[in-house]
Amino acid sequence: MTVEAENLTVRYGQHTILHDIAFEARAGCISVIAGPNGSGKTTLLKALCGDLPHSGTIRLNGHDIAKLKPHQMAARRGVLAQETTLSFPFTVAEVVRIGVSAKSDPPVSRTWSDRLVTQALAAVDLAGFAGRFYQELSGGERQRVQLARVLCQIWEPVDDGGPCWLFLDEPVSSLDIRHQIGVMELAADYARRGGGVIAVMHDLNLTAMFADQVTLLSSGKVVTSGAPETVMSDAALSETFGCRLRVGVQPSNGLFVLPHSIMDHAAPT
Amino acid sequence: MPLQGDRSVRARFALAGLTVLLVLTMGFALQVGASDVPTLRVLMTWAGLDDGQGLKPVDMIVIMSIRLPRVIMGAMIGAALAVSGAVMQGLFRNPLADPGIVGVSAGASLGAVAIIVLGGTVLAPYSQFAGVNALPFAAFLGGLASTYILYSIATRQRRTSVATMLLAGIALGAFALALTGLLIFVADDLQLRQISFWSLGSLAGATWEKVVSIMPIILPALFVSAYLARGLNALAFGEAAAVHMGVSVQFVKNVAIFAIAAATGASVAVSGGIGFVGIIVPHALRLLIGPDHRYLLPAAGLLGAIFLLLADCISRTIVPPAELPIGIVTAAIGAPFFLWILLRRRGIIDL
Repeated sequence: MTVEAENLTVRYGQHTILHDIAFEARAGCISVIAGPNGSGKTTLLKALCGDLPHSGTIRLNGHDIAKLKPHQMAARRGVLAQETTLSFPFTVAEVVRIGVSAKSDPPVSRTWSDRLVTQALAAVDLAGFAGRFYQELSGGERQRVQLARVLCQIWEPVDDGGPCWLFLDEPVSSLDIRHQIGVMELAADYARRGGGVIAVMHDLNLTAMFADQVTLLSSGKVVTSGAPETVMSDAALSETFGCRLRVGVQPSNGLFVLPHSIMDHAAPT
Repeated sequence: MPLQGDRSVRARFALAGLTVLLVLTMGFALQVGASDVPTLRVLMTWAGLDDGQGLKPVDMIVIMSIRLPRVIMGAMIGAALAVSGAVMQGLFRNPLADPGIVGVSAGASLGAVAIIVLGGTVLAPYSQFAGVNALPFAAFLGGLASTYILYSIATRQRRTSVATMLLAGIALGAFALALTGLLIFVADDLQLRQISFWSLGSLAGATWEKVVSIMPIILPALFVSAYLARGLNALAFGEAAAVHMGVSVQFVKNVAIFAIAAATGASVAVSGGIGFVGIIVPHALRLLIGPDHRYLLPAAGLLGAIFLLLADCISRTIVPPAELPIGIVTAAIGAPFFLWILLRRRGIIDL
C-alpha cells in the first residue's frame, strides 16, 4: 500500500509551487521529504493531506483523495503540523482525548479511552503531564502533546482498512536531541508495525539515520528520490541545497555530536 | 485512578447542579414580583393536584398569564444568547466573539428602528399586515437578512472565510448603524424613547403568543448546536487540523452560522438588545469545567437561562412599580463579575 502523487502541480495565485511532481511512499517505511526553505516540502505534505487545490492525482492506499470525505481520510492518516496553537485553555489530557474521539472507531468505554491517552502520553515521554494546561508548556512539549493526539487518532498502524499513515511536518524542529531521537524511534516503530510515515525533515543526520526513502526537493521539483545511501551523495545534496556539501567528512577538530552516537546506532570503535 | 486533567466528571456534576438550579430559579422567578401570590398552589391547581379553593382569580392570572410566559421566555432567551455566544467563540476561535459579529444585532436593530420610526408612514401597509408582531418580526428579518448578506460576502468557492466574515461584519455593522442613525435623526421624541428602551432590552410584554412564536426557532437551534460540539472542539486546533481529524468544517460553519442567526434573531426580536450574556456565561463556564464543547454548550444553555432569569427578577423588583430595562442589569452585574474572574485567573487566559 502506498501514498502516491502523479503529475502533481500546485499553484498559489500566479506562483507555481510544485511542478509536475511524482512521489511515492510505501507503508512500512519512513519516507522523508528534504530540501531548502521554500522548495515546496510543506506544500507537498499539505497536498498529500488533501488541504490544497491541485492538478494531478494523489492516491492514499489506492484511493483518489479527491473522492474521499474528511472522515474517510481521518480514519487512514493523522497529520502533525509544524506548530499548533489552541484558542481555549485545554489541559493536556483533553487535547489528547480529542484525538481519541477523532478515531474512526472511538472507544466506548471510558477506562479504555483513559488508558489510550495515558499510553500515548507515555509514548512521547510526557507521562505525568495530563493535568497540565497546554498553554503552560514549552514549544517542544506542545509539539509532543500534538503528536500524542495524532497517534491516538490512528493508534493501530494497520487495521481492516489497510495501513494507516503518519504525516509529520518537521516533527523534531523544536525538540532537544534526546526527544528528537525518541520521536524518530516512535515513527520507526510505527513503520515497523506496518504503518506508513511521511516526514518533512531539515535534519540530514536524522534523515540518514531513520529514513528508508528520501525525496530531495528544490524549487518545486524532485531532484532525486530513493534509498538514503544512494540519494544522499555529495552531488545531489550540493545541487539541492545550493552549497558545497560532503557526506561522511569529519570536522578538522573532531568536535561533533551525531544522533548516531547513542548506543544502538554507533559503529564499533 | 481517574485521568488527571480530565474535567469531564466535574462537568457532569456541574450539568446536574445547573439543572437543579435552573428549576429552583424558575420557581423563584415565578414567586418574585409586585404582588404576593401563592405560586405553588396555583401551579398545583393548574396541574390538577389541588382543588383550587380559596384562590383568587387574579392570582391565577398573575401566574399563568403574566409570570409563567415571562419565565419561560426568559429561560429560552438566556439559553439562546449564551449558547450562541459559545458557538460563535468556538467558530471564530476567539473567546471575545459574540453573535453580534455575524451582523444579527445590527440588522435586527435596523429592522426594529425602521418599524418604530416609519411604521406609521412608509411602512404602514407592513405594520397593518403584521399587526402586534410587526416589530419583532421586522427585527428577526433584519437579523437574518444581514447574516445572509455577510455570509455570502465571506463565502467564495463554497469556503467561508472566518476572517473575512469578521472584517466584513464590522463594515456592514457600521453601515447598518449609519442607516439606523439616519432613522433616529428623523424620529420624533416619542419614537426616540421607544428606540432607546428597545435597545436596552426587556422581557416585559412576554405573552404566550411570543413564547409560541420563538419556541419553534430557538429550541431547534439549541438542539442542533449540541451536534456541533465535536466539530467545534476540533476547530480549536485550527481549520486544517479540524479537517485532518475528519470534521466537515464547511458543514459545521453553515450549521453554526444559521443556528446562531436564527436563535439570536428570535431573541433580539422579542426582547431587544440584551448584552453580555453570550460572553460572560461561556467564559465563566470555561474556567469552571473547561472548554470541551460537549459539556460547555449544554452548560451554557442552563447557566444562560439562570443568569437571565435572575437579572429579570432584579429588573422588575428594584424600582417598583416600574421596571428597569434588563440590559442595564445584565451589564451592571456582568461587567464587574467578568473583571473579577479575569483578574483572579489571569494566568490561563491566553488570547
